[in-house]
Amino acid sequence: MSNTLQFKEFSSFVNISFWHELSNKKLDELKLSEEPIPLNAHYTFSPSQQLDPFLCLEFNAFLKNNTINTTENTYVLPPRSYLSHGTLFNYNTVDDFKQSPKLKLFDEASKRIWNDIKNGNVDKDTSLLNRFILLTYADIKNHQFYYMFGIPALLPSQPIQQFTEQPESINIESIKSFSNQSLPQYFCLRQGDDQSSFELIGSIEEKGNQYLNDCLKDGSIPLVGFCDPCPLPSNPGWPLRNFLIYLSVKYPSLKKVKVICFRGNGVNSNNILLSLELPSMSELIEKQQQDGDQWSGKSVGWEKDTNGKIAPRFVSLASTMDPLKLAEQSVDLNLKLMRWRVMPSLELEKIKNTSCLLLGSGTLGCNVARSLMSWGVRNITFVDSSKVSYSNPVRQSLFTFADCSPKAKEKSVAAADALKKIFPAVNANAEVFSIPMPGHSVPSSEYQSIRDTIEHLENLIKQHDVIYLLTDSRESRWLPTMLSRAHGKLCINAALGFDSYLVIRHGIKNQCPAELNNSISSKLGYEGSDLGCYFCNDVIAPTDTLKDRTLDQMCTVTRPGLSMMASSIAVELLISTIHHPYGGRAKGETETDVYTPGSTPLGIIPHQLRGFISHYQTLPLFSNPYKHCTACSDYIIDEYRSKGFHFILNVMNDSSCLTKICGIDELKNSEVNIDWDIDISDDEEDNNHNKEKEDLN
Amino acid sequence: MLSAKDFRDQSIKLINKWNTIIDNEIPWQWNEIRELNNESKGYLTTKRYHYSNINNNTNDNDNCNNNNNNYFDEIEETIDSSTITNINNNNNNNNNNNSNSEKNIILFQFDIIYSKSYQVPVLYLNAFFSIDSSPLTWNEIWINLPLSNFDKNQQSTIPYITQVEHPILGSPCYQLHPCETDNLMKLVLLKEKENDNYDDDNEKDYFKDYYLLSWLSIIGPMVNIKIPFELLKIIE
Repeated sequence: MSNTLQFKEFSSFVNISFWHELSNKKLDELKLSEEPIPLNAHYTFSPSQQLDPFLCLEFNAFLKNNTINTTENTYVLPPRSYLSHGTLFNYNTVDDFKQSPKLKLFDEASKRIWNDIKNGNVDKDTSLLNRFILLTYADIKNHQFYYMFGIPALLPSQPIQQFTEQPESINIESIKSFSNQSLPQYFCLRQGDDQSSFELIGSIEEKGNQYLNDCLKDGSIPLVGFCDPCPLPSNPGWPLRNFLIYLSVKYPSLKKVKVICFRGNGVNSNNILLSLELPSMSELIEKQQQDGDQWSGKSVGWEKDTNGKIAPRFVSLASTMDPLKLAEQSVDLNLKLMRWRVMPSLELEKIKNTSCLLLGSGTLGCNVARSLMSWGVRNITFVDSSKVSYSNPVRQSLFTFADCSPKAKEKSVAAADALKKIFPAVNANAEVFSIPMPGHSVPSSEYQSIRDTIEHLENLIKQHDVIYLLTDSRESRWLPTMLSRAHGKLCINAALGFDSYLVIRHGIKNQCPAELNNSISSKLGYEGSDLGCYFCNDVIAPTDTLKDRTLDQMCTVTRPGLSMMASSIAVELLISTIHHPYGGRAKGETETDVYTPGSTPLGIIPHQLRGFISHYQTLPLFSNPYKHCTACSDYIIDEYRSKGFHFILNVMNDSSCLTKICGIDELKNSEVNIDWDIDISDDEEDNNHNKEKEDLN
Repeated sequence: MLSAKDFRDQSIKLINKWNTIIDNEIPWQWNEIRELNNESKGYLTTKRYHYSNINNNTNDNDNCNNNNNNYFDEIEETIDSSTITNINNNNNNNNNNNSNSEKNIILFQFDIIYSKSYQVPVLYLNAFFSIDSSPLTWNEIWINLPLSNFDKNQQSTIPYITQVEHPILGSPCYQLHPCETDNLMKLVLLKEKENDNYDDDNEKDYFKDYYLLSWLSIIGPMVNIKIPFELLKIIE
């Protein structure tokens, strides 16, 4: 047995482009057909000893070798590559695939090779010796493919023996002579006077018959060669097997043959010379004649899986072909582009992991959500109590006509659905309830439901990192402002007037731990700071502003572009804040000179921005927290902490209690004159506030 | 900027030279696909293999067939003494090192396609584990390219990789983004101008003729395509 020649099997290499093509074909042409389909594959010389000989299947596998129709693409072999003829059996279900007559199909392929040898087809085209079958089940919905390769090699009755101890390795230099021409797959050659030089006679198709008969006549051992994909020092590759069968059948009196395994001309290519005893095929031929002129011998060549078993291989291209994953990756990579190209310090992961609670799903809510999503924010929760009405879709960018007709959808639900439609990987949620408001009195029958609502809102605020106040009324902002303050959450507030807008980030009361604060402040040269909230400039408590409005006041009375501007700024403000070491505790910057660098890589972090579209101006402003503020002052927060729900209930029923608790009433009575003097600038801003007609959607 | 015709001409020239000089690598090929409107689109393509940086990838469970074997019956085949027994057959032997090293070979498919909008050549790639031709993920590709080492310094001129559709085949693949290619090439050519500014016409010829090769000599090393020294010598 020691001199039994051993062959190296092919490994299949199936390019993604083949699976892609198969998926397309299945959808467009094959549909449910399970008819066998001809395929073309190729092999080439192995570039490395460590690399198995590969049978490559690529996008062009389905193309025909030669077509009369010149407009059709034909299969083109890569340079220095050789053809293998395949047949694809693609099954519709995994069960069909499982139950397919695998052994029968393999036998049929073996029979085809045998018949081609017997009826002389191989004389004209030796590539017919290289056949394979491919069985597949393409789960194109999940982009998963099961497949099995069979590359049949006919077995002679006795294994092929070498009559020398070892294959000889041959001088590479001497073979260089045929490097520049494309070698045929199988060829015959002549050894020169010099032991190590060889001369190509021609392909088996052209010269084989004459050469081999000549050799038989003069009794010399013929020298043939083949292009060998195998790089191993003492083993030839698979294509030699059927070729030896072919020689034995075609030239029964030929007993010995020398074979050059040509592995290319590279420096590392180990061309070897085999001296072989050809098997006798007479026994098999006789048997075959009894069996009705069919190949009835054995053949081998199923591809093993990675465990060495003959079982299907499996490949999942979900990560590369699943459109959902593709969208997700592209979105991430597009943002990374920004980091790579412009801003290496961009904190994409931090942005991605920031969860945002959007209170209000109107024009501001829609636009804020879209901008957040563009920045890669993945967790967005909408809160709104109303339904999409006919006037909404034109201004509220997440809605369409279908959301209001035939049945109006809840705004928050429609908005979350729209986000998922735009980008399925987003985690968008919807909550339907209205935010309890000061001055909107609560009948005792509703205490429990209001209590639940408040608890729910409080939980939502606790669960999210950033709270966006995007509601249509002033008083609906009070409760979330107070709760965000109480829980130390960053709260960003956007409000629209007719031609002006305000975007403000509220201060966070909880300061950084001292040691962290010190280390940051020593770096930045300043400490974190507290900031005023939306209500800090007011000296009246929020009250029911909806009660006495006429219909035209209830509608959105704002220049349509404002919402997008305010929303964009509200989102950019968050992104800048994320990039500051103090985060929401960063001091408010008001630098307007664009050549002065800000405190973050993205620029300055203002406390509030006021935009005036009439003069196309946006101003960064800053204000300190007002110690008698009706929403964020310690008086209010302490009152809430000690009395909880009952405090809020009191405020709902009579908002004037707020001014009492925070001490404004007292101030008004005693120090009115002094106050006027100090707060001139605040007064101006008050005027602005009062002018604001807020977006009612 | 490179014209589509120049790209084609230079590609074919490059293929001929390269394949003549180097024959121990998988050769370059010019693939031409005729599209429905009878227009031909061609591109340059080759493959390279590379030892993986991944420590015996345990993360390929998804793509590997191990977990699916239970579904299928094994096929029994005639025992054949003429077939090399696979190393994997005798599991858990001291052969483990061997099978690991095989597992860690990665095959890269490289396609160089002309971009009409950027007017530059663009590199597209896919990578597969040689053991079972399962595709590598973006991260696996990234850490297996020398490119990723350049990026550690956050140099902004390093191209990055995004997943795209193959512009000709439509199959999924990765692209080295071309947005900086033209700037890069301008830089390369500017140097040439400073060096010899006596003959304007010759200089233009130089630019035109070796655009593709110059580009490839910059991009190649980032993705493990070795440029044969002989190829560069011939130019002189």
